[in-house]
Amino acid sequence: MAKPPEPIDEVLPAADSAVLAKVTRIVEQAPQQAYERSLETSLPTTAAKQVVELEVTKVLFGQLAKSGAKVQVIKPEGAYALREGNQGPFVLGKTDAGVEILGRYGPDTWPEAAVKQAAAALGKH
Amino acid sequence: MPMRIADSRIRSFVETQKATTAPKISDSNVIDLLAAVGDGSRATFDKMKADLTKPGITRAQQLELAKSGLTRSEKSDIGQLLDKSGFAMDPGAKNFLEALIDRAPLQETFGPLSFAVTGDQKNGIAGTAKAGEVIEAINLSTAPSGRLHLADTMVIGTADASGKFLGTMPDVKEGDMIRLRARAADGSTSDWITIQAKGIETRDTRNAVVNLERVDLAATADGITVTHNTKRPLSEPGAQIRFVNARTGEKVDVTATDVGSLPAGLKLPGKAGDEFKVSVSDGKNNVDHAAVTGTLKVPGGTGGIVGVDLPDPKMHKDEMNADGTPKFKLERFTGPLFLNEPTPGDVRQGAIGNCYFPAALASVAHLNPQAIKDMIKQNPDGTYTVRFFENGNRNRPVEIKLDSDLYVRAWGGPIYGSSLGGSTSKESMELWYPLIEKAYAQWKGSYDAIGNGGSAGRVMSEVVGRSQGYEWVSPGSEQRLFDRIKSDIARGVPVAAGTHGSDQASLYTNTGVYANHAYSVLGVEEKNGEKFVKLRNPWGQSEAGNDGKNDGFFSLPMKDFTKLYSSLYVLN
Repeated sequence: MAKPPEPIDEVLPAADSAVLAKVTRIVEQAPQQAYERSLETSLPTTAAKQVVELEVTKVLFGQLAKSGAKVQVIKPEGAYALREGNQGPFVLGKTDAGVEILGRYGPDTWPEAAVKQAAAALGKH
Repeated sequence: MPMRIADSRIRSFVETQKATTAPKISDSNVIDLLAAVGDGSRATFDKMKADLTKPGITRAQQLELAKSGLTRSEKSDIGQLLDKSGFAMDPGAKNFLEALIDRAPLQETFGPLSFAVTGDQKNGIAGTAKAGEVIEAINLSTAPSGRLHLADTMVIGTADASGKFLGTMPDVKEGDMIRLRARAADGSTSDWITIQAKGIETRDTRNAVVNLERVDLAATADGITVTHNTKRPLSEPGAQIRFVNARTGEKVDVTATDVGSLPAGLKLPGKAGDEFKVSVSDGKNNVDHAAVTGTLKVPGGTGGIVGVDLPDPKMHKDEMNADGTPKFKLERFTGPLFLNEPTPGDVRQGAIGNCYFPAALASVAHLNPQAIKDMIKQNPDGTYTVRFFENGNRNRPVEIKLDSDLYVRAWGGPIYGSSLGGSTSKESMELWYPLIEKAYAQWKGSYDAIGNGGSAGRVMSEVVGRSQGYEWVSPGSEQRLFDRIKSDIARGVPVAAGTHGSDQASLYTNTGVYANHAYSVLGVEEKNGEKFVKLRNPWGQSEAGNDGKNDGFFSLPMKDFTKLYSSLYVLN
C-alpha cells in the first residue's frame, strides 16, 4: 500500500539469508482480487500470494540457498508481485510455511549494498 | 401569452430546458429539436438525429433535412420558441431556427451544427463533434459520492477527421447521467449536454446518492435554510430528495436540478437543533424512501469552519496497542518552520499509507512555495496554525491549531512525515512538512483517517484553494498529457500522478516505480527527440533509472509513464 520500504535494520534481524537471484518461474499464483480503477492511491489493497522459483546467483549471507541453486520461496500477500525475469537482492526468512521473501517490495526494497552493509553490522555472514 | 406547443417532442424539449437553472437553445441541444421537427413518416427521431450529425454534412444540408419533415404545427412551435420562450440562444442555433421557418436566410458562416451523442452506450459513448475536438465528460450519477466538481471532467476521446468520436468511461451503469462537452484546440468549449446512459444492462439497479457533506443547514427567523456548500454535485439530476424533520415528522420533497444541486431558496420547517433524516430516490429504486441516507443537524444558526481547535490526532491503527494506547511516544520538536524556501526535496513520507499527501505537498512546494509559507504560521504561544481550504473553496478556510509534538521511533526520528535534507533531531528538523501533515490528520480525525489512501488532487485542492480535476492516463495519450503537464507547470499550477492499483503490481517490480502510489509531477522535457516527464517519489528515495543519487527525483519516458501510471491530478 505504497508505504516506504521498512528500515533495513528493522527487518534484517529476522532474516536467515540474503541472496542475489532471478525469478525463473511462478510456481503458484493465488487468485488476485481485481480492484476498481481509482483516483486514490495508498489504498489498503494487496497483491496476492505467490510461490516462485529463484535461481540464486550470489549469496550475501546465510545458508538457506547456495549460489547456482534453484529454490522455491513464498512471496507473501502484500504490496508487490513478481514475474519471471525479476531480479535483485532477496532477503529470506524461514517460517512454518516455508522460506518467505522479506521486505515490503521484495527485490525492490533495498539495494544490494544496503543489505550487505546492514548484514555486516549485525555480524551476519 | 403562454406558449402552446403542439409537438410532444418539442414540448418535452421545452420542459427539460425549463427545469434547468439557465434554459438555453445551443448549437448542441438544437440538434434534438431539429430531429424532433424533421421526424415523421419518412424517418424516425433517431434516424433523423443520425442523419443530421452525419460526418461531413453541411449546414445547408442540415436545414434541408430538418425542413423535409417540418409540419405546419411544428413551424408554429418553433416560432413560439423564438418569440415567447425567453430562452437564451446561441447565435448559430437561433439563425438556424429562423431559417427553418423562413424568417431569415441561413448563414453558412456559423458552420454545421455539431456535437451530439448518438445511439446507446453499450459499446461506449459515440457521437459527432468538429474534427479534432476533445470530448470531456463527467458521470453525474457517481460524482456525488466521489470528490468531483461539475467541471472535474475526464477526457473520453477525440473526434476524428470525419468528426466521429467514440469514448469510454469507467464504471458507467445503466441509467447514469453523463454530462459532456467538446473542447476545441483553442480551449473554447461547447455547451454541456447531458445524456442518460442506456443499453448497458437490462435494468438500472443503482439508487441515486446524495452527499450530505455538501449540505449546510442554518436556522433563520422563517425556517431552515439549506445550502449546497460546494460546486461538486450533491445528487443525481432529477433525483427526489426527501428531508424529514425528526422532531415534527414534517416532510419536504425536492427534485435535484440539472446540475445535481438543490432548488434555489429551499427552506425547511424547523428550528436550531432539529435533525433531518434525508433519503433519495431516482424514481426507480428506493421509491418509498425507506432507506435513509443520513441525518443532518441544524447548528446554532451560523455556518463556516474557522479557527478549528481539535484534539491531537491519534496514531494509525497499525501503531496502536490492543488497549488503544499508542506504541510510540510523542516528542516536542523545536526546529525552524523553514530552513530556506520550501522545495519538493524537503518532503519525506513516513511509515503510513498517505503517499497522496506528501506527493501533493511536494508538487505545491515545487511551483508555489509561497502557498506553503502562507498556509502555516507560528503563534506567539509557541503553537502553530495551519490553514486548508475545505473542498478547495477559498471562501471556506479551515484553520487548525496544533502543537509540535510528533510521534517518534525509538531512535528519536519521526515515524510519520518528516523533512529531508537536514537533521531529523527534535531540536533542528525543519518542521513545515511534518506539521502540515499533523494538522491534516488533526482535521480529518487521526493519522488512521489519513493513512489508508486518498487523492493527491484533493490535497492540492485543499492546499491551494482551487477545484480539482484529473485525467486518466493510458498508452496513446502521450502527446496530450505532455502538453497538459507543460501548460499547467508553465502556469504555476501543481500536478501529481498516481500509478495503477495493487492488482497490477507485477507491472512494477524492477521498474523503479511502485504500484498504488502517488508521485509529484515536476515538469516535462525533450531529449534527443524523446519526451520525458519529471517525477518525484514522496519517499525521497527509490526511483526509475540510475542517476546515482537515489533521492526520489527521476525522469521517465512518456511512453513508460502512460503504461505505468493511471491518473494525472490537476487543478482547474
